[in-house]
Amino acid sequence: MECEKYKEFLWDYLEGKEIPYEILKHVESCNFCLKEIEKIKKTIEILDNLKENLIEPYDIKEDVFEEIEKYERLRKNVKNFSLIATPFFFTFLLFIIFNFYKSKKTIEIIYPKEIQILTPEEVYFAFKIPENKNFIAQIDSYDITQDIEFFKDICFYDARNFEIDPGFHIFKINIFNEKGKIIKKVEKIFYLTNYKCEEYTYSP
Amino acid sequence: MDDYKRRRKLEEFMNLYSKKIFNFLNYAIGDKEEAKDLVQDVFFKVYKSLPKFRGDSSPYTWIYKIAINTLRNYIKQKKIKKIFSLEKIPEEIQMGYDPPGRPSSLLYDAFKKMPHDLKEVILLYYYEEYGTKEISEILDIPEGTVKSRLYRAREFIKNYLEKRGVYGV
Repeated sequence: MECEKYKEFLWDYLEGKEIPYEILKHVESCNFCLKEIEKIKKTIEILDNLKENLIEPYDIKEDVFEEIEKYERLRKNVKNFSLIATPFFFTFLLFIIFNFYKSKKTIEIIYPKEIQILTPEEVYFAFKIPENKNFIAQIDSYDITQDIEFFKDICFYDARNFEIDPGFHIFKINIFNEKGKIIKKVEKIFYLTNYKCEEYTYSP
Repeated sequence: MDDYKRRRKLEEFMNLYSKKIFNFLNYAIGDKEEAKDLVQDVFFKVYKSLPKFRGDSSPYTWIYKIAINTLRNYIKQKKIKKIFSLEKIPEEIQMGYDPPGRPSSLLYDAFKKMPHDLKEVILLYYYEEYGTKEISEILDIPEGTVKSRLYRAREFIKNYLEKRGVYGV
């Protein structure tokens, strides 16, 4: 229907905007469009009421300024706190980095370095560890997990407590920090003999 | 801008525009208390953004943009709350406003049913008397989109009123 196409122009027409002459001609002689114009006029009247029926708002100034006061106070506090806290934060950060680096670097197994032929009495590990630090070490061998003790910078593990067959054995050593996090993992291979001084020739 | 000037400027804006913006928000969300909170929020944002306001548009248009964004965030939050059923939203608070005893209460009923994007445009056009070009700037959409939304909104209201016998049989 032609009128449907012109509907949009009817609103413009009633607002005094220019519309194409052919549409104007059609509208003036079309009953449907004239009825439509009456409806639009009434709708516009109702829409214009939007401006008439305004509600007086509450006085918001006091609340807004109160909010601003809170915001400014918080902003100042954050600023002051940042000024004070920043040096502390960076010192703390450096401390953490330094300790992390130190703990990583200073725990170092210095004995045994390579595969060695040992008797059970000779199985021990020597570590370089940082002073005043608490570490827990566990050793895995023969499917047994056992805590081992540090004494100064030496970590003892007495292999004589176990019946160990002669031959190659892998010792897995895990070193934990106080929070139970593994900070070093080492694997060492030993060749154990039954008796001290027994002659054994090992060629890798 | 120092603190004193900033506050005086804000006070001036509140004197000039708070009533219009409050009513706009009230029409849009249909809840006086919520509209009050929103209008406070709008002027608080105006205060925070005042040092950044360069005067590219009129202060009123700039404040309206802030009001529209605040309103959109509010509606988004309401929708999210509704989806997660954290809050049961009364029907009249969702979209429209129905002040009892008003002659044009059917219009408020129509607002309740009207999609929000159409409602924004029709309120800016008839309530704020902005032109389509200014609305396109405020809503950050092309002018053609404003015109088509305006037409759809008008037709929506006309059909709504027609169905309720406003234009006679």
